[in-house]
Amino acid sequence: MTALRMEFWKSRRRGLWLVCAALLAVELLWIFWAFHNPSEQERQKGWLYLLYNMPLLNGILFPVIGATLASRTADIEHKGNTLKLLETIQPKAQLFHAKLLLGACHLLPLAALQAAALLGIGFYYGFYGQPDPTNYWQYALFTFTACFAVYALHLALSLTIKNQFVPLCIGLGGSFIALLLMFLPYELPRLLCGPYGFFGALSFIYMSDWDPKTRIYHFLRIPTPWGSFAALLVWIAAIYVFGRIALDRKEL
Amino acid sequence: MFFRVLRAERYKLRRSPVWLAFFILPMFPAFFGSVNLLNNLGLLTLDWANLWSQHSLFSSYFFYPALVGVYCSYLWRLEHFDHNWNQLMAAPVPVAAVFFGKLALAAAMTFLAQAWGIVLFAIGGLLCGIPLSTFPPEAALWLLCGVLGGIAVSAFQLLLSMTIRSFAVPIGVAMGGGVLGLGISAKGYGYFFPYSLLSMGMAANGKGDAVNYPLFFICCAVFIAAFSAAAIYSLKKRDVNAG
Repeated sequence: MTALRMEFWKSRRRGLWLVCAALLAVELLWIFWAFHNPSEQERQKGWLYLLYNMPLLNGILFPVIGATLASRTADIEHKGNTLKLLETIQPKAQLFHAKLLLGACHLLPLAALQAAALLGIGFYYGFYGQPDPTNYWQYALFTFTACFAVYALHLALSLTIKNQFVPLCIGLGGSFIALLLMFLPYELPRLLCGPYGFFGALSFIYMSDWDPKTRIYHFLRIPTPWGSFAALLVWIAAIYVFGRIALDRKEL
Repeated sequence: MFFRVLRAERYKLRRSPVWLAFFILPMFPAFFGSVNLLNNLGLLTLDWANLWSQHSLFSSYFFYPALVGVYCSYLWRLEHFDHNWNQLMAAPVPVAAVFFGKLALAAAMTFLAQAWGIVLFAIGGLLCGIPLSTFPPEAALWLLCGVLGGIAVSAFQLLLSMTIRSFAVPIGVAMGGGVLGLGISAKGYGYFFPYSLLSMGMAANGKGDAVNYPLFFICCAVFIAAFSAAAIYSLKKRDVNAG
């Protein structure tokens, strides 16, 4: 707890909340732009439409935002050359755990706020029918877990590599991998391309029967992808082991 | 003096892996755009215009703004370390030359990235089976205007990266700006937002005909001048916060 409290002290005025708020603001602006004048079809399918679209936006934006958050958290140690000093007063693992928890403390409210915002937008525009609460807690859970996996990977990279250019470029590539994987009709590549593919793999709304001429489409609520969620947990465990080993072997 | 500053900036980038990102990352939208075109042949015809719309749609809104952001952050990174701001400001060179030296490098890198994007576009088209004889001559205009839009974004990103003592935050801003640029240009206000100018210049989504080029050039020039002036004014007036 002391280590976590120290991380919060170190993150003061570093704008971590601002980065999360900016992501949420851009996503909400996008949705308000897309829904500024909802048609009858959009009102009917609005609840599922938002749940279908938001993972796509997260997939495009979060790899870079997650890399930004991780870089802000880790770069402070590189800039102050503090890793050597810290190692004399706390184990490397404790530092890594504290920084992981710091990220989780920011990502959990972000995921919950996203789910709440989707509900709020639905009520604001008067979508037909009632939203299913299960969809929203599962959305929040999956969003948090996928975001945390990306953050954990980038934290390990940002702590290990002093030049923050490299993890940020990997994040940029991750955005494209996430986008590409969402358009692929196959499930397996989404599970294998690191944590980036899970924004799509954990989406439980499926668009079907899209007719390009009439622009009519349907959304299906497919069974919750618990198998993909389990695969993501395996990825998180692998990233954690990688991060611990990389940090242990790092020459300070 | 400007060329000496430019040489110094080039020395700072020696042995840096920055070129690798500009070489590898444009391959993602090129690959993705080509695969997307082949997957949607029922809706789209197999020609250069449709291939460019697929290539440029994702790259101009999501990818190039962030890539320019990464490069501009990298250009100011060294100044933010240790007490380098003090050294830079004490050097006997005009601050305008320092800023324009970095802007010139960002412009050159934007040009190389866009030119590489056009080469990948041609390779993607050939691999998809589109005859090279029908390659659109407008590609030169897309390249030129894409670079101009890219310089406008670079000027803003350099101002941001200079002001914010963080490598990553300006890149997040660039990513958000690219996404907002999509909405703003769809509303018809793209001329007044630098990130939209980048996509409009590249004729993203096959909308090259709708661009008012004289207005586009004027807006790019105004943004470049305004952001450069703001950066130089800030360098002259603001107290340095080093260390």
